[in-house]
Amino acid sequence: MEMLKVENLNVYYGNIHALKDMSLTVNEGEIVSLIGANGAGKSTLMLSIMHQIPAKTGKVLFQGKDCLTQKTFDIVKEGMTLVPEGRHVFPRTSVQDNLLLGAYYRRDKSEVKKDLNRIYEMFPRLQERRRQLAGTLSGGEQQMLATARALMSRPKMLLLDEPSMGLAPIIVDQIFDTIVRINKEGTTILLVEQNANQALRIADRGYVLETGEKTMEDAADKLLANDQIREAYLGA
Amino acid sequence: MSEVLLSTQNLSKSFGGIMANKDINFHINRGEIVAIIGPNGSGKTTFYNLLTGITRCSGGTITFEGKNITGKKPQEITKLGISRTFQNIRLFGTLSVAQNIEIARHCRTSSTMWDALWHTKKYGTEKEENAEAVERCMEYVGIADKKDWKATNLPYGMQRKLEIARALATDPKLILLDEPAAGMNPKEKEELMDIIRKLSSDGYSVILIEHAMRVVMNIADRISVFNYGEKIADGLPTEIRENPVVIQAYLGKGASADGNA
Amino acid sequence: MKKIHISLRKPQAGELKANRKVIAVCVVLAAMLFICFLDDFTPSGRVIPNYFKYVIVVSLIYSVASLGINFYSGYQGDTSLGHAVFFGTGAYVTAYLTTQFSGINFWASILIGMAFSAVLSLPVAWAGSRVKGSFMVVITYGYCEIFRYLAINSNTLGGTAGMAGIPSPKIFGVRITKIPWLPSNKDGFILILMAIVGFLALFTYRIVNSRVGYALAAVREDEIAAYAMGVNVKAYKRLAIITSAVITSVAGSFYAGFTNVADPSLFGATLSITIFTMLVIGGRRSISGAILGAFIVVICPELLRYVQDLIGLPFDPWYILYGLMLVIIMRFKPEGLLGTKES
Repeated sequence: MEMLKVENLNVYYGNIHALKDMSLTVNEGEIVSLIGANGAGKSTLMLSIMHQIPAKTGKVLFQGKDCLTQKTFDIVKEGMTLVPEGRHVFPRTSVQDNLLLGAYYRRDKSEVKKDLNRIYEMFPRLQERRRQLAGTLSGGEQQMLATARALMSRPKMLLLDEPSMGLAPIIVDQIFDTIVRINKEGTTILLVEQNANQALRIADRGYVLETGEKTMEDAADKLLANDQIREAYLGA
Repeated sequence: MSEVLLSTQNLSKSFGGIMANKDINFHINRGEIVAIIGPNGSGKTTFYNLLTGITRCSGGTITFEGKNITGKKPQEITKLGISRTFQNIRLFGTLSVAQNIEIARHCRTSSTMWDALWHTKKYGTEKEENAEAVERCMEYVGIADKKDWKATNLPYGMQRKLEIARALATDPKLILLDEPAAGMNPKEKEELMDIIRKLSSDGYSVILIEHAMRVVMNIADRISVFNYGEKIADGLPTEIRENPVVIQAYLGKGASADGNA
Repeated sequence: MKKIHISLRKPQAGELKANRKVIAVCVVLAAMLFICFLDDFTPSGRVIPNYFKYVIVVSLIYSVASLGINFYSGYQGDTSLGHAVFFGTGAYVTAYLTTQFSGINFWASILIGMAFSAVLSLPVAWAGSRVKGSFMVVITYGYCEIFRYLAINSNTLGGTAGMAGIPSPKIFGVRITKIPWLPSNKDGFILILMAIVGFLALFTYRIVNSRVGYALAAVREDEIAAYAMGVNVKAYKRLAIITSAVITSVAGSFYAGFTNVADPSLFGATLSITIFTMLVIGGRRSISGAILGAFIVVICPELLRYVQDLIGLPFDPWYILYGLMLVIIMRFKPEGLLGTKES
């Protein structure tokens, strides 16, 4: 079943055509990776899907509902969450409260508590620092927190923009393990990663973006094997 | 080549009882590339803040070119020849690429309000020298075609390069790079590695905090490993890669071997 | 939410824009001179009402203040609601010295006022090196109120009534208000103030594009990065507030010399807010904007008072429109009328 469908989306920044006739689908239960160079439009696409940036023409359908007529917070209520690029944690709020704010819309308090403990299991570092203000964490720890906070909302669909940026290799592994795990538990995932190698390894399908256009789409393992892709994005 | 450029002796910093850096003994030779790796929150950026004088150390000394520079003000340290980039990119956002680099010439120029008001000879020469330096630094990292772009409008990877250009414009002897490869794709990482290698062969010394192991293992002459504010290991890339303590604390299962990070 | 914005526009003023600016300046200059000298050539006497010239002089005085605050709230980037301290200091120093020490002339009193203002700006610099911008708003506001109460309660400074009878300045022994070849008593002020505003515009332009201006920009954009570039952040913050205070003080001195009185409201928060508003309306970090802002805030209420009389409104429409204007400008052009957009 189609979870997310983007049709002929066109986005402009002033005169610049940032997304050109972008179309993609994400089916329920899938992990889909977007790869491409800096400035290819990956983050723009993510933000447009969440209706943080207005699109000129085109459609974004989440579970059949039009996102472009909805406000971002309504889209989140529907069950789609974005972890934006960069470390947007609440700096003057404790680590634990940051995580609980991620579960803002949830009513199942006991489940929230369970999830919190699970997050602490996954990221012991955050447990050690749960009373600390998020702004006092190191850069990498803040990234960890931002990703963990998104997981707390238990979305049906999660958009992740560069979740592994600036993290130690061992934590990167954990983040990817976590993504796979929550995917198995029923969350559909759209993933943007510079770390294309690892991203494609856990993905079902992938899209390649270049200067605002989709240049390729295929099964993830086929992309991994594609020589052109290997040279341009996988550094092999 | 084995002349020591910068060294620290038992350098320590505590934030409200928590030791962010504890008794760090570190050194870098002229022309060397030394990488610092370690888990998130292990005190790597704190170490940079101590070296550049932005944070005052609680104990220990820093020696640069044989002189004790502990406790010096950040602007004095920049003038002595240490410059840096920032993990969370700190460009002067509303200014152009060229202006960002020209600001970095501050420590190498000295014209005053008086010179500026009357456009004295000194003002003119310095403006010319600055323009040359700006050109040179933009060329060095390959962003010359973006000269008039507003810094915030540059793509992420280029912002990182601009930070390096800006650090370079202060005429440093030692450059501290804080996660320069973060957010870069493999191709950009290659370009970055070329830039760092060029810096080293041009006589600059480089300290590099980085999580991208392919970058670290490829270009570092030596690697220091931090964990919980302490330096737990120091050695050649090949040694560090095999070090069981480092693998357990930082590298994880197989990440180090194929260097896909 | 992070805003992504890509622009190919050059951030610096292009060639064409610069030319347009030069033309605009020439037009304004010509208009001013025309206003000053027109009556010299009209045989029947007054064509330009003296009242109109009065408004121009006041606008020019506030232009000086607005250019002054631009160094602090524009280029260095901290909000000040306390610039009346320096305006008032200039006015009171001139008032006191020219009335009490009859020997001291107006021009010397300006310099002494500048020195006083420079000293009085140091506590602001000291506070600014310790606390963040939003606290500075409250601190500067409180600072100017302290001076207002001091002035009210000081007998030497004339208490609530302030000091009156300040003589008009002389130039080469001739009163500025009675220069024989000028048609009215305001024209001397207009010419001198135009020269001062012109000089300040050049001064600002050249400083901003120099090493000093770049250092101020660095401090404004990111203090940590500024340190890393070798900029002595504290010293430049101090420099910005001192320069700003000294220029604003000149405006105060002229105000006293022109209106012949100095009263405690010149230290008041209302005046502080007015000066700040002029800059914000015109555009922070814009020279022409600072001047335009001053003219708008001075001329509009006068114009509206005229409208009020004309249609017989029972209240002054200015205060409503003033607020409305601010809201509209901040909503649709937050960078000010002539300011440059920030990403």
